Amino acid sequence: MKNGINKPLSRRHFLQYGSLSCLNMLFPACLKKTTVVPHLSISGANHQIGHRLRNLQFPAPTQEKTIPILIIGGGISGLSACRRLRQKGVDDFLLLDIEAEMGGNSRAASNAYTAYPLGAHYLPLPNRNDTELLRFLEESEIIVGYDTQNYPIFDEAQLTIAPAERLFINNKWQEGVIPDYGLSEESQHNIAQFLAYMEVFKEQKGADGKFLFDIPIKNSSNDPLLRQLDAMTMQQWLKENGFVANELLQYVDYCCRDDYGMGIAYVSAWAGIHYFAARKGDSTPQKDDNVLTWQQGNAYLVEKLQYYAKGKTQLESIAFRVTKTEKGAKVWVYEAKNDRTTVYTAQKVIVACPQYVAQRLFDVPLADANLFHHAPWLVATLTLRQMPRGVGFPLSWDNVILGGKGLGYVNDLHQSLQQHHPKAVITYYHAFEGQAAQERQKVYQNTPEKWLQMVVDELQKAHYNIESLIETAHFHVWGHGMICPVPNFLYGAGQQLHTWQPTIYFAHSDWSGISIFEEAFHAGIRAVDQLLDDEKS
Amino acid sequence: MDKPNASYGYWLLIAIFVIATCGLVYELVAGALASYLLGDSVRQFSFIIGVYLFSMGIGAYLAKFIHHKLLEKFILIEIWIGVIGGLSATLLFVLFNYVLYFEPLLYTIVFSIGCLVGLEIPLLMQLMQDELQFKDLVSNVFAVDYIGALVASVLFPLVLVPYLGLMRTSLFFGMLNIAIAWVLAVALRQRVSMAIRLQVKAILVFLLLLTTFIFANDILAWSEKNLYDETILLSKTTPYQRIVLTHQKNNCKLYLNNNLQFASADEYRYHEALVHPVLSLAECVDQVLVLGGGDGLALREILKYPDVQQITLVDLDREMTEICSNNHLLTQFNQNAFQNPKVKVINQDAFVWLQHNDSQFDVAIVDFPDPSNYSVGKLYTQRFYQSLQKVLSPQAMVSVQTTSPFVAPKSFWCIQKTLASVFAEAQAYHIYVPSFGEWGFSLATQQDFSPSNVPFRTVSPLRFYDFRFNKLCDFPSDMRAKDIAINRLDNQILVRYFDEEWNK
Repeated sequence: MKNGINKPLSRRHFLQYGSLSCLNMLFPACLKKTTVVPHLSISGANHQIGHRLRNLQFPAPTQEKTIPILIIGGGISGLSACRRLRQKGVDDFLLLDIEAEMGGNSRAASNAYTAYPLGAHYLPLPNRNDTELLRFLEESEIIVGYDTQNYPIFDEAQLTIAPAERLFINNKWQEGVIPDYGLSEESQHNIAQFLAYMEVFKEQKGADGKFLFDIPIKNSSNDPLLRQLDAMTMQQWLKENGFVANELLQYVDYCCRDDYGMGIAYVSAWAGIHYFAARKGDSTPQKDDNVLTWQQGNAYLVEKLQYYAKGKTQLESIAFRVTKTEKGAKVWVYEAKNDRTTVYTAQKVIVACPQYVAQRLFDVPLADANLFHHAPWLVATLTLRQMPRGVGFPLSWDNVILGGKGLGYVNDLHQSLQQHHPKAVITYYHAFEGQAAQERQKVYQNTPEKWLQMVVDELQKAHYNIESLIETAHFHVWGHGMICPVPNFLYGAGQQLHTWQPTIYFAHSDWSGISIFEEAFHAGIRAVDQLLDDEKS
Repeated sequence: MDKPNASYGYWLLIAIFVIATCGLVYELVAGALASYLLGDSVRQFSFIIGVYLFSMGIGAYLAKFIHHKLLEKFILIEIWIGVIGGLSATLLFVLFNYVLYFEPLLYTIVFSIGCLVGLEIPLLMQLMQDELQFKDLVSNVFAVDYIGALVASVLFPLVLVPYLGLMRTSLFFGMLNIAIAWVLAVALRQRVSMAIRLQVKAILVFLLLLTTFIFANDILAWSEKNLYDETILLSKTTPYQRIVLTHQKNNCKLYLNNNLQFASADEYRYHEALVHPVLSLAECVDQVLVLGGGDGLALREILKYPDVQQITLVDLDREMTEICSNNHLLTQFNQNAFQNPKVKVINQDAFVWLQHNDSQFDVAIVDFPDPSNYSVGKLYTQRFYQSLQKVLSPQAMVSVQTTSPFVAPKSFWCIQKTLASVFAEAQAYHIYVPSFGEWGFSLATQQDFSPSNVPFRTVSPLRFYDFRFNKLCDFPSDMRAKDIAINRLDNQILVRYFDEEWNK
């Protein structure tokens, strides 16, 4: 009800509570270390079956089938392709996925308290010119209408509920993730300057009248400046332009690791700036930079896309060979459920699996494999007895530790409208930068106990007693988390890929160099549009 | 020389026995008093014993710096222990209501007594070292000391506290302590310089303690009256909140998480204003929904309307509604509203419940805790009111408590504006509740509405509300606010306003 103007705490209460809390401070929770051993579990992409792909250890084909359109890969791009096909009135297709569930990087899991993401977990508000995505969000009732000025109205409960972000910096949580608390004037100035630079890039257009940075990348300008930016690392670019404040570098590094899996030392300046300049924040009149998110992360969007693939999917099925024929293609598919191989004769094939899988399907190389770097990721979901208290700004949806090796954690219960939860559930993200192949070996060999230690070490920086609060921990390991846009990728590998039209179409965000929902969504649409165009002509 | 020496040692051993008993009694008194006043006896006893023993150590260490006139100093120390120890309980009782930081006072007293008691044994051993062999000395002194401790700890709970009470116990042993000092000063007067002076001192402080002892009951009654400024009648921690019911004179107060929920002296103003405008001005009142309001006081007011067919109360905390339907005092306040067959209680999260409900209500009364954090803040958002609207009949009317327009005008008008963004009509109004100050509410409906509408029904007698709604709708300029945003889930601007205004 109400607090009352008269401070209701009598001196007696004050003394009682005051003294108890004083005494409490003498006994920090770290002294009462829990004796409960947390329950650990681990999961990951289907390694065994994936490795069979490398060695091609599959049974000889026992049956043949024909299908007009075969889509390989049930991540966002494959599902988006299904949506496009259905919308264009094409119903005769089959979607294959290697896993037991659709969604690729956007899958989710759940525990007794909540669903939680295993990978991708939010979608930034789309640019206003991205009509295709806006339409999908409207179909999915994420956009609930348009206002009088034709701005989309997003469903309040699917936008990040406030407070959205906080940053642990100088031993305190501050609001927002752009470093501010305890910064020197020079650092503050440096950051402000950087952000102003990014604002300029946001609006800047090339000679061809297109944005220098846009989503999807295919829509952006051909300006020679981009070629320059693509040739250097973000670190070089920052240095050359006088951006030296330590907190700024840490912040930009965090942003790059968050979106690309690798930091400023690895990604191209083009990619680093793309992070800040490609999203125009113009879909709301107040220029909100909010994001859309759900307890299960982008698995929510997968659910919505799956509607279009209903009855047209086959799980735990791995395409391991594709050959072009005169009239189409033959695709060898191993079906793990009944341990047999089927050869599909398809008129069209949409390859919507990641590059490292796609390159093994063909007898000829697709592109220089050395140019593709996929950072391994760890996504750890912890159930906590309660949320550890922190100094400063309260628990937010996204909680970042500045200068941390990981990417901070998301409060999985944040989007819940419920007042109280018996436990806290957080999902911690960690991308492994460096030599991807070596990192991957390490990642595969790690035990849950070692993962737990790593996560605790990282989170302890902000929550000294977190270890004693952990009840369960689930680690999801992504051997190939996401593609990393290293220098010379955009104008190198990204351009190399030639499609084998009119039979084989590539639709995966890997080929764009950026692993974000929008790229995958548009890649699926683009592949289908080309396919249908080719059919007409 | 043998005889006087023997009696000298004898006197000192008696002194040790008595002062050992006294020392432990002071410690027990302090522990019991701290538990009594501050709660959590394990912690209090543990800390008191720790500090006491520690300060005894300090005292023992300091003893080595005392060289001259040992006996005089010993007697003086006894007098001091008697005064401080004897008056300790009285001081603590009386000062509890007047000092802001009670613990420093408590531990200063415990420390002083401990320090002085710590001085005793080493001093005594120095005094007796010429009389006895070292091993006899140590054995005798400690044996007597520990026997004294046993006597004290057995007497304390069985005899002293039940028959004398804490104050008189400490005073009694203080007098005993001083008596020993006086006896020593008299018996060993040949060995003591200025024996008379010491005797006089001892007698004077003895008289002081005796007077206090005689008037102990009056002092106690006086300090307890202050102490029980508000008597705690009930205190319960549920998974969701801490519920405390207190009593003071004729006024009972219910606190949730230390926030005043209601004061029985004036809650009728609040609940009449929350309930009667909406129930008199709504076209139909068959089905009434109450969100929050687990104290049942709004129910009491709603039940005054015979037209009401059913009341559905959704409150998160089962223990809260159970206490309020069973506690003898609380059922008096809500007039057993929970027992009324018209009342249906649902213990669920209101927001979640609204999402999964398709019944239709004619009136909704929203009485949530103030939006002091981001969790409760969700219950004041546009989205929440949209969810609420889905369970309302087209002509339904809603009343919402909207914090204080005087203390928190931005918060108040923010809720009002948010309601107005969802409902066709929203009318802010306010009243004065002495316990809270100026307090505000809002009426909202999809129908055309004017504050001067004629009530569809009235009930009597009410103590405060007279069914002239429009007179509550006037807001002077110090209760207004400009440039207020609508509270949405994705901005939770209300929590920011509230925080800014209440923490000014």
